[in-house]
Amino acid sequence: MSNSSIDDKDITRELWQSRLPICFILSDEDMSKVNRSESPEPLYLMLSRHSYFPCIIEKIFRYYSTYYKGNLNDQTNNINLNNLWLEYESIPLKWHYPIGLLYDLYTSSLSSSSSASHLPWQIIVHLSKFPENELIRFPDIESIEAHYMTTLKEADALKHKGQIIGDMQKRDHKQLWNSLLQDKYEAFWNINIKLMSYTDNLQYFRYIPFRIYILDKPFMQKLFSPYNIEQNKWLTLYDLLQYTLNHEVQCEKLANEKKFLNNNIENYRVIIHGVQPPLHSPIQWLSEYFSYPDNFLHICLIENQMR
Amino acid sequence: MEWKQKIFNQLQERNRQERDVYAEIVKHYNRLTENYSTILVRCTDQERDILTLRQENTDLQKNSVSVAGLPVNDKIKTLENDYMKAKDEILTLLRERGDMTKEVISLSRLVKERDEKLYSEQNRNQILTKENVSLRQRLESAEDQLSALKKVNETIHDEFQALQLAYTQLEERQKELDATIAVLRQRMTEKIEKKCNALDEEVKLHEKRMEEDVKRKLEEAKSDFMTSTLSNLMTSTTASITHLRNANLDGKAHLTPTIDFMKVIIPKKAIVKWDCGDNELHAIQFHPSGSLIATGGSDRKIHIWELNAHNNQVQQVYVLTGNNSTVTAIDFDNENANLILGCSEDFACRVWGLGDQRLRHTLTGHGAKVFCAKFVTATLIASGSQDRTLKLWDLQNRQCVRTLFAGSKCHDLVAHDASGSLISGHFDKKIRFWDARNDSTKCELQLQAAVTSLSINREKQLLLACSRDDTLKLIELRENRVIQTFSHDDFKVASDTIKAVLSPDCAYACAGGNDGSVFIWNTTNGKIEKVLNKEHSSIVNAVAWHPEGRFIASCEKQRRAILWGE
Repeated sequence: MSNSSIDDKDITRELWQSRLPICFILSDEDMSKVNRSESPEPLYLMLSRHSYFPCIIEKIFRYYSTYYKGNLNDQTNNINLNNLWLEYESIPLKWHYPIGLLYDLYTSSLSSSSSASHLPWQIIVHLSKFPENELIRFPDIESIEAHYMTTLKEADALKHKGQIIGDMQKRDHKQLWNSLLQDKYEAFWNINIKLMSYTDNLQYFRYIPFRIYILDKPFMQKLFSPYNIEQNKWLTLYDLLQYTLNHEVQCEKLANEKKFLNNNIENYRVIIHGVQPPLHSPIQWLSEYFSYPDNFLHICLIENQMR
Repeated sequence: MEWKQKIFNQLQERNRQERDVYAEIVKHYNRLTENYSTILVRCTDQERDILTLRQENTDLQKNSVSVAGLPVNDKIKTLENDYMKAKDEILTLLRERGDMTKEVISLSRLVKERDEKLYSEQNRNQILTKENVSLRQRLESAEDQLSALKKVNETIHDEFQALQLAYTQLEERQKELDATIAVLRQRMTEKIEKKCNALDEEVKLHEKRMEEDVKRKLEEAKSDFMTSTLSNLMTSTTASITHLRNANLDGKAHLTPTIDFMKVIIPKKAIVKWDCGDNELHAIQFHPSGSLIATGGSDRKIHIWELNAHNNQVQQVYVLTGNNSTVTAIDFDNENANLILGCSEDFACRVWGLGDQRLRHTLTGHGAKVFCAKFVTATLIASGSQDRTLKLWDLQNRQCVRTLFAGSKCHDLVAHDASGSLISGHFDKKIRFWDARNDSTKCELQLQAAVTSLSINREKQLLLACSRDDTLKLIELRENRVIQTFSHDDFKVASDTIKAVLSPDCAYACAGGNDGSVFIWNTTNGKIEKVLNKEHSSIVNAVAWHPEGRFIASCEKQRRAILWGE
């Protein structure tokens, strides 16, 4: 029946070859300010799930700026790279989340049917009226790289007390980021495999780096070990989720929150990388092979809709 | 690990839905938008260009409009008028130009024709001058030739006149001489007659006296001693008679008989028959005096026989030796040098002296048997040989002075004159007449068969040729024409060397046949006169006529020679 000879490499390769069709449409008020006879056509791009929006923001801006050629010097229009922001269903998109994560989080909750009907993902490009309150302005490439490295170091700190990432040279760090940008699987996993090794004579990571995202709430991150020493068993995804939700409810109670989180896993759909892995999958394996390139497991919990 | 499988399957499904379905479409869509944007750019550029062009156009129109100003119509009219005038002018100018070009064409044609005419005239002129030059040259050369010829003509004319004078003189001299000769001859004949008569009378007287003497002596002897003195007298008388005869002979040996003394008679019977030599006889010849006969044959010797005319006896006088092979022909010289020439099959001719019987010369040089040899003069001998050449020998130098190449065996030859012109008869049926000055034949006469012998008369006008077709031909030498042919049913020419002779006065021709008969023809009417047969028993090889015409000598193959006479 099931072929147990599926290599972990096949899964990581499939993960790496993920693409999302995204359609960028100019906002209406910006469309009206176009000073050419033709209105700009929507921009379609196939973007990698584990990439970040700031990586292609230059492209988006270049495409739309051609339609404002004459008015670039006009300050009143504020057509500016700094003023560019992306929106989906009137939700401004945060730029420091991976694209796949944003897609899973926002589209999965919108309808009960399969997420495929939302493709291509239609994002509205705004060139003006930047929402100062909700969004930090899109940074340049170097800032995104710094954010990525920070996340990576945090993950390694959780896994190996930061030993491995500290031992790696700057060249390797650069190689990780560049292979991510240039979509080079082999180059990336050459370095990444070191980050998946074990230290301190452990057969597992010390703590699993993960974040759990629920709509309209900040993400949850807890300390969780993948192996139960006392019961001598590997912990599963279910265990992680249960532990996290319970811990969160406890925190809410301590903080005297009025409304509590629903901590029944049955009410949620668990989506990582756009798929729903079986809840009994060992978490250690998931952390090693199913993480995002920043070595974090970004898990989306989508509430099942009341029918 | 079915959770792994589930995860993998889900991932594949996700990829399929998210990526595979849209990848191609997005790619093509992006390409289209790119093309679209480039086209837009081009379009805008072209619109801009169009705008600028329109702008320029409107500017130009504005300019043109503004230039006209207010009185536009008048200007237009004047412009139109000017325009019409200009057109008319142009038309007329064009017409004029057309006419001019026509004139130009016709004029150029005329010029071309004139040029061609001029060129052809020049060519003709050149040709004519060349002809003129050549004609002048020819004329000059012709004039030169003419002058030269005139000179030559003059000289020839002068020579001719001189010769004519000489000739007339010589003619006159000759007439005189003839007259004197005639006179002298008459005198001589009268004197000789007188002398003969005197001699006869003297002889008669002498005889009479002798007889009277004898009678007297007889009567005396009768009276004294009859027998002893008689025989003495007989011997002495015979001795004296022979002495007288010898004296006559010696005297006659130095004299050739005169022409008028010839009295050719046809022999009727054999007078003397004798055997000469041991073998076949090939040649027989009379000494010009008529008293000696020479025979030669395959015994390699030449026998000289003395003819005693009065008692018709032939005695061998001497034998000439020296030949190494059969003697084929004998000749005596006619100029009183007393030489005898014999040619033989040992390729040489030999000359002996008759007085001392000594071999004077041996003439070698022929490459084959010498068939014939004749004295041309006393110092010039001609010989013909089987080696197809004729040679002329000079006895003073003892050398061959000329060799004539005849191309065919020469069977017989005769000397035509003293300068060395010869007539020779050949195996190839031709008689060749040789010129004395060069080595070529003056003339050739073709007969029906091989020529075996030639005989010429004393005046050198008639030639008798004997040929193998059993005929004799008489040829007249002025026109080289055969005038008579002699034949007889029994006359057969048996070999290549049968000799036929003319009589000394050319009245008769004689030849011997192969059955032993001797035939005599009359040359004037061509009929046979006499056939002398029954005496020879084999082929008659050669015949010779006595110079005085009284005897014929013939020799046959079987050593027998016969003297025929009255």
